[in-house]
Amino acid sequence: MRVAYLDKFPIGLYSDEAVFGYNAYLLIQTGHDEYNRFWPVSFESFGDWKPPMQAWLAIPFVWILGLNEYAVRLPSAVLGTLTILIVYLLAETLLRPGLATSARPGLFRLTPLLASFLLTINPWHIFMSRMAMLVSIEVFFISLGVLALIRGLNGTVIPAQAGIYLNRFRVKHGMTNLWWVISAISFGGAIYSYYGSRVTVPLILLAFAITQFNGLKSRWKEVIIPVIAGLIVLSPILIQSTTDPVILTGRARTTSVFFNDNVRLQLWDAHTKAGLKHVVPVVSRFFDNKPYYYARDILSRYWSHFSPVFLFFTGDSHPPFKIPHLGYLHLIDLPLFLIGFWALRKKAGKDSLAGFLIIYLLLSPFVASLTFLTPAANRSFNLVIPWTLITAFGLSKLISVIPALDRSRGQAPAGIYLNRFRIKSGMTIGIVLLYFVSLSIFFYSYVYLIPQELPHYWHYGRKELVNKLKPLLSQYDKIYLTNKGGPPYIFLSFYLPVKPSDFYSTVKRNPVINNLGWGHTDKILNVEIPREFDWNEVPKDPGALYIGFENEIPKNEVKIIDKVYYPNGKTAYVITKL
Amino acid sequence: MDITVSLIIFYFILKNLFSDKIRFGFKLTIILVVFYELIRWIYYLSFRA
Repeated sequence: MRVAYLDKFPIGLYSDEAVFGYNAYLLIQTGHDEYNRFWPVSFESFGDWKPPMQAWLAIPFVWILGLNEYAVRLPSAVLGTLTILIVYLLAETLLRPGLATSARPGLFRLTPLLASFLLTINPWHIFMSRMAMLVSIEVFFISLGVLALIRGLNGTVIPAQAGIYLNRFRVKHGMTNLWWVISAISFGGAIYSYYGSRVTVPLILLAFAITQFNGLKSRWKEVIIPVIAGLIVLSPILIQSTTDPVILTGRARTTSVFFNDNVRLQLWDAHTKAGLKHVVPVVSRFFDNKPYYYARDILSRYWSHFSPVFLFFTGDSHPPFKIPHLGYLHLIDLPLFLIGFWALRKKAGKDSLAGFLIIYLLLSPFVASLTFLTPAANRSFNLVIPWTLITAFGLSKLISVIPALDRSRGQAPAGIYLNRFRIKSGMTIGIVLLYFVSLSIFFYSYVYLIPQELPHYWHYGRKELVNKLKPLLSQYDKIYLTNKGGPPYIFLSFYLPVKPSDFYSTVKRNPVINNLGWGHTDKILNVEIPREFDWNEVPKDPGALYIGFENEIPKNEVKIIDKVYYPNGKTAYVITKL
Repeated sequence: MDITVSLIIFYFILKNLFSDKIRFGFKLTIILVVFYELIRWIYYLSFRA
């Protein structure tokens, strides 16, 4: 589900994916990125900075398979698949027998199996694992970090025999807790994978420290080496950020709620109205102030990520994360999640790891709520792990009710035959059927509706355009190409592909970064890319080729040489000359 | 209102994790926020309507 047909679905290659792929290609060829920086720890592109891990992980795949969609997306798909194994181990560690819902030991294994199965068929996880958009690898590293963090508490997880903690690493290496070293390295990996992790990881560590405080206070010496390991892993980025802080923060400034004018305008409106009513400024500011308005704004964005409308019905409307007419989770998950959540909440008082799982859930969309494009499917993607674990816990809880029904068989009214096998089989068939139907609807939307309704979200047509352009490049001195819908220089570089020497010698960057933080590339090879492709302002050259969307070039002024079509038959690009 | 409701939801989700002192502090915060939002509401009705 995650690895097959990666080159065909999603339907096109998104511009960010092309950036990671082409930078991986440049690093293989030259050791430099597209801005000619030697092995950078943050990739500059389109005016912003991208975390490096996605491109780094693509290097071996691009090296072996060549520069194509499959090679670029394979790291996400592989790590997404490995996350299923991590979720099995997380469920085994977090939802252990003490937390299980039945005295039957068999159920201990059932919950991890259910958790890994539910993640395998989770639409959100499948969707994100099939694209090279950072969050799939981030979730892998964070879940591995959390798993190692909890395994580091091993003494409390595996029942002691004759009073000896079965923490092999601790026994073997004295004060070195290797699980926590793995955790530190893994969290470091998450920080190199996605900017959101730079907030999420410290919060997870803080939540872990608070919930496990009693167990940790006597083990503080074990933390020293993992902290040193984490600092070593992060040292390149920490050192480079001293000279250029934007490497550490990326687009955080331009995407944060504090950059957006929404709250500022609300405050301005409130103070103006108060002034017109002759309210004393001190009073006005007491009731209409930044902390109150921002807290309200952030909380409303936070809760939007738990909205059933977002999770089950509409999803994220921002490209490329929309799935037509669907959310990201199976609706059948909801009752199971609620059962699991209720049971987990009751256990949280007695079991600190249950409390940690609840806090993990609550923390997951926190980063997303600090940005103004909410609800955001990518920024809140960490939610998928605690959601799956709790849903699996709820399902195992539901299954555990069946023996109780069986015991009541003797008291059942005449005619009602509560056969445990029949109930169990019926419920299993019903649940599996509902998941099957729900998954089928997701795949229908993913494979058929996205290409038909939203091909432009995925920058469909760029590959087809470059293929048509290949033989024409040498025939024309100049080619004018529209910039609409995504930076075209990266698709030219990716699909031709442009040789590093040609790239560095012909690429021309525009120094102006717009108010949303986007930069522009004016030229690559002999292709001119005006920032605004306005037909009235584009130089008219009889020897040049003009490529734009159908509505950008007046048909009566040009001769159409070729067209690029969307899968639904509509025209994407027209290739024209005067 | 959003802040009060959020705090109450967080309290009910997390209360089993807290010690008595933290629970008391959380409740006190909720009471203060409810009081603030109440007088803010009265302010809006009185001066801004």
